[in-house]
Amino acid sequence: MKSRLKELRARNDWSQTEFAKRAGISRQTVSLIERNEYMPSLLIAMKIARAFDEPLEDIFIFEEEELR
Amino acid sequence: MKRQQRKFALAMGVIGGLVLGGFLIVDELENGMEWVIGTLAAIAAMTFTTSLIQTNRLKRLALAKEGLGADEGERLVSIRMSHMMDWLMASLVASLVGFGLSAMYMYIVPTWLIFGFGAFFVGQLIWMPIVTKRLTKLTHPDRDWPKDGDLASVMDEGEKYMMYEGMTSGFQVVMAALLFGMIVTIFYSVWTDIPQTFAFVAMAIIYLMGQWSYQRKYRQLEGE
Repeated sequence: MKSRLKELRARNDWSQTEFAKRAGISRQTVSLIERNEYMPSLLIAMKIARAFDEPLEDIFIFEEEELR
Repeated sequence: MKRQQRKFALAMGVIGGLVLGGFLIVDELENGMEWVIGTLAAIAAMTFTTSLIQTNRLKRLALAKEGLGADEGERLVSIRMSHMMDWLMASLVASLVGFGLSAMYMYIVPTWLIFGFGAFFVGQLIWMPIVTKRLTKLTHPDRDWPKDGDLASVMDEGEKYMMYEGMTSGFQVVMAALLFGMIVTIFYSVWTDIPQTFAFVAMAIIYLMGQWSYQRKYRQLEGE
């Protein structure tokens, strides 16, 4: 799984701390997801999508093989 | 100037520990075991002083972190806190080992030193939760921490994941070290022809308790 979290955050010129506050999650969680070290739960993923106002599948991208 | 002051404070911590150790060695200690105990006192004093200095540096960094940028500042504060805890743990272990050895050799070690080690160890046990709570507020400034001190209840899944990873690797190391300690105890017992039954049984019970607690939690999380 790849996430576009870092890219979208940079586009909005938000720091991890600022984005974490907006999404209602911790900075540590943002950092872990951006480094691809942690796959978030559906709840956290939804919070992130809502903070960016983007559909979930535009932020978290799975390879076709992963979904089989 | 500030950097020089920090270096000076750090050097003073190291020198303070060495002076205390030197005093103990010159004043009271004569043979090999006493040298070991004196050195342990020096290490405990040095590491504890260094942890205190780092705590103060951490407080200043937390106040001034805006200049570093929000993310870098917060990351640095968290990492520095972890380093500070390393020093505090080193001091805790050094004073415990010092207390244990000086109590075992009580006929050659002055009584005040045995009690000193013990009091220092207990003092750190009291100090640790206080400083951890204070510093956690620095690493998570926006949180409303619960009064009962249950930090896990306000952590989100990413923070819990980090804690879990750290604790799991810590658990594995401690369990492996305990097994190694049991093997060394058996060899030592055979080599010296002195049964070490109490030490061996105590370690075996601690190992079993650790494993039992781990497996019980594992089954609970699996949904048994």
